Amino acid sequence: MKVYLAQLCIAFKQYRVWAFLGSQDIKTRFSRTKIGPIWIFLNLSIWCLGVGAIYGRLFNQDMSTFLPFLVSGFVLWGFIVGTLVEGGSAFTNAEGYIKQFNLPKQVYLFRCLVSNGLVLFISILVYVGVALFYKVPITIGVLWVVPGLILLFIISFFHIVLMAYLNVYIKDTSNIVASVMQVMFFLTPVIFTAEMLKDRGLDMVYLLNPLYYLIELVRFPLLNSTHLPYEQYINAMIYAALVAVISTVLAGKLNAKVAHHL
Amino acid sequence: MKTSKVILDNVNVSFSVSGNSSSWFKVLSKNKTTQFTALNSISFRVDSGERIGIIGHNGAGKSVLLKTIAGVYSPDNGERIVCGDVCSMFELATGFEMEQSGWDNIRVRGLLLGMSRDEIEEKLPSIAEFCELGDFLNFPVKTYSAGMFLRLAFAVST
Repeated sequence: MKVYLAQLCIAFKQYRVWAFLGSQDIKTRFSRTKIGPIWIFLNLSIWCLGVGAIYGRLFNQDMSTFLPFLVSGFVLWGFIVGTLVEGGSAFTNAEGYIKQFNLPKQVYLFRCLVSNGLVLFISILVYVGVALFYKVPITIGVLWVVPGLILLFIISFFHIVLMAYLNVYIKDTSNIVASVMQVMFFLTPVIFTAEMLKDRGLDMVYLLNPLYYLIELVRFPLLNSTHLPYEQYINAMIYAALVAVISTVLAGKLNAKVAHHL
Repeated sequence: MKTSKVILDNVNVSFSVSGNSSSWFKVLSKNKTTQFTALNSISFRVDSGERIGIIGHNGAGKSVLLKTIAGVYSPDNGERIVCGDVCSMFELATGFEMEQSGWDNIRVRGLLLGMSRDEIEEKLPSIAEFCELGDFLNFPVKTYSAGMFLRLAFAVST
């Protein structure tokens, strides 16, 4: 475990490498397309317009509050799922690099966070557009987004660590997680609100769902320009500590043999 | 001045050949699957200025030995001491960003070999000259021939 933590520190200091690789990933994904990363923007807008139009009617929602809710929630959902699923291939995709260079391999974990973070920041522009269009009231309290984002990034990084190491040894991991997340999408207030569940006596569905709290970390201050109840930040920190410990113990155990298994 | 040297002392490297049977239980309990020992108690010392060649039949463990020296594989036991820089070149078919140009791939490989951005930009012209790829550097590397890959990798590593 000591070796793992030392490598993690060295890898973190190599920020030039992982920031470069992470941004290259986005470039590569859209290379030779006509409009490049604008696709992220366009995909999301089309999805939100479609779903917003149908579900907004279906649930009798006021579009001026429902659409901002939908967009912000879906963007954050995409980030959480992206880090979990792509985290699984962080090492396997970098096999060629890992077997050639003796850079600490944790660099490829940070790279995964960077590429997903970039997608998040591009997508969040759609939210900004929607918020401006519907004139969502914004005050200085919206800055509570920042600590929320930091917590979300830290937690997502440990998700990546967990997934990357597990997936090297058991290749089914990211498939399992991907299908679980598909089900979770319908159990997490993204296309419906928490209030709808509460009205129907289904509070448990979101109260016991950590993904709901992860989304709320950023969505709540975005929509309401104020902070969440403080105990939710403490809960998030406890969750972060938990994944940090689990992922560190696991990575410490599996670290030495990652290259052997690729 | 620190002299460069490579010392391996009683190094073992083994792989578990589990095929498709690796299960959660086995991974977490560290239950040993079939082990294949690639390097068995290897010890030697190479000092500055010495050159060695490694000869062996296919699958003898030559590449694993080199990768262990480069730090890709960590020894199961024994000690590995390497002073100086290791510029390694393995598995030429992988480790390229296929969609990107030769120039970008030089930058990526340079970064991964531990050069700084400035250092790379400074060396770009000489690397380009050395690999003699000319205008092909502007093309995505997936259009390259095997020999051109070799040139590119070799140029950055040296």
